Amino acid sequence: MKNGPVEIISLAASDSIARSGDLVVLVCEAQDSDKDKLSYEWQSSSGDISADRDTALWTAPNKSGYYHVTCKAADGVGASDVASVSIRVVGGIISGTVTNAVNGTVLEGVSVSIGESSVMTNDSGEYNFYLALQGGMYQVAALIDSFCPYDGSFEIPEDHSSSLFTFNFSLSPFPEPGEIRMVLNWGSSPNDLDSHLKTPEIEGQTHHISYSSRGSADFAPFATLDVDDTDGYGPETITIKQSFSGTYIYYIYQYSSSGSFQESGGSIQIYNSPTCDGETIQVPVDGSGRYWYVCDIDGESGDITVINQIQNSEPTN
Amino acid sequence: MNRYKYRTRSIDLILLTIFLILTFTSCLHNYEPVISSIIANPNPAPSGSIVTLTCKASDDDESSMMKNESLEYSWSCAYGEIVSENNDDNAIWIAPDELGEYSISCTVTDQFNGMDISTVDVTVE
Repeated sequence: MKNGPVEIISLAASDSIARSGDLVVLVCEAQDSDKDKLSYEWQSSSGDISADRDTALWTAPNKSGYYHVTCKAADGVGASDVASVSIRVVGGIISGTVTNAVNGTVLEGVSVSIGESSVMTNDSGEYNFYLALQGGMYQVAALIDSFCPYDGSFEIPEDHSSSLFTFNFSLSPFPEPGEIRMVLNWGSSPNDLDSHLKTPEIEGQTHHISYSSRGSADFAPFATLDVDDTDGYGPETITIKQSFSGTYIYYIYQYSSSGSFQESGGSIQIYNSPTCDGETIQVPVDGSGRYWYVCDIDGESGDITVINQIQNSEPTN
Repeated sequence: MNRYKYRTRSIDLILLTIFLILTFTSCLHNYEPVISSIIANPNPAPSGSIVTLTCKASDDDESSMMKNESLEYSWSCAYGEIVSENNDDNAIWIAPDELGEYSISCTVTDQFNGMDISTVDVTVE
């Protein structure tokens, strides 16, 4: 009487990508041609495995990589089959959504770089970097046709305990001749930060642009609040369409009562026409108050005087 | 006396039959191959380098008529491509650019449906 073969029909893992420490469930489905009782042997060269017959629980190891977990099914009388499944393990994920600064829509096909690695955003404007998350500053660059190149940074705090970190940012289309654009992005908290722009006298009077008075591109003040964001991340964008002589004051008001500028991770990109030249301004770590006085802009020359301080009172001319 | 003799023969016959059955079964019992080691060289490996892999396996059918059966090897890697010229116990793999741990598994198969698998992790740094 010849002993028939054992066949593993499938070896399935609950996840094909796992973060270090995640539990992955594996199921090995096998059959024996002559109905012998099968025993299962599970192995992985890294990461703990606990198994109960055809089901195993694997703990993703600390080091990033591509791992195999193997299953061997044996009938005890000389026939067996083996299978392996590949699981990618990542130390952590930096992910985010890239949006158009003037209308908030997501941008697909943006090349996003952190350090030496680059990825493209998908059709939801999302990107993912699989890296070991360590505290420190990260430089981000992003490129797509018809938009100003993006050059920014973010900080992962030393005490960051999650293996996921979100960094959303926005890209500005090339400014039209004469335009100056200010784009604010920040993290999940505070929920609501508001951009404000105070203009010099235009056609005999000064103007104050914000969510409550969004301005106009075609008549005074020739500046607009393009996007108002009230649920974190931004963008919150103001564009000066046509500038007039005198000083423009640009500041951010913390509308939400909870949270603070210091923990916001706030970052402002200022783009001048026609070359996208400008400034990148990170929120200061010191100071208290609900006003972040960002800069003065000279309407005639387009020169930007960075103030970058947090204060208790509204900036005035 | 004769009667006693006859009985002894009967027991002998039964014992002999049992012995023959046992021997026959044991000869037909396949022992699965066992991988004793799988070695990657170099390990750790610099990214872009060629890593040579060697899989050592034996088939323990010492006392049976199935001994010395030939073993077949196959290789799989969790990432990249692994090349083994004649499905033998050697293979090569190119360490990728991305640093990390990479599992490579060797599977060995005997001629009677017995298999074993073993995995080595190569550290790319």
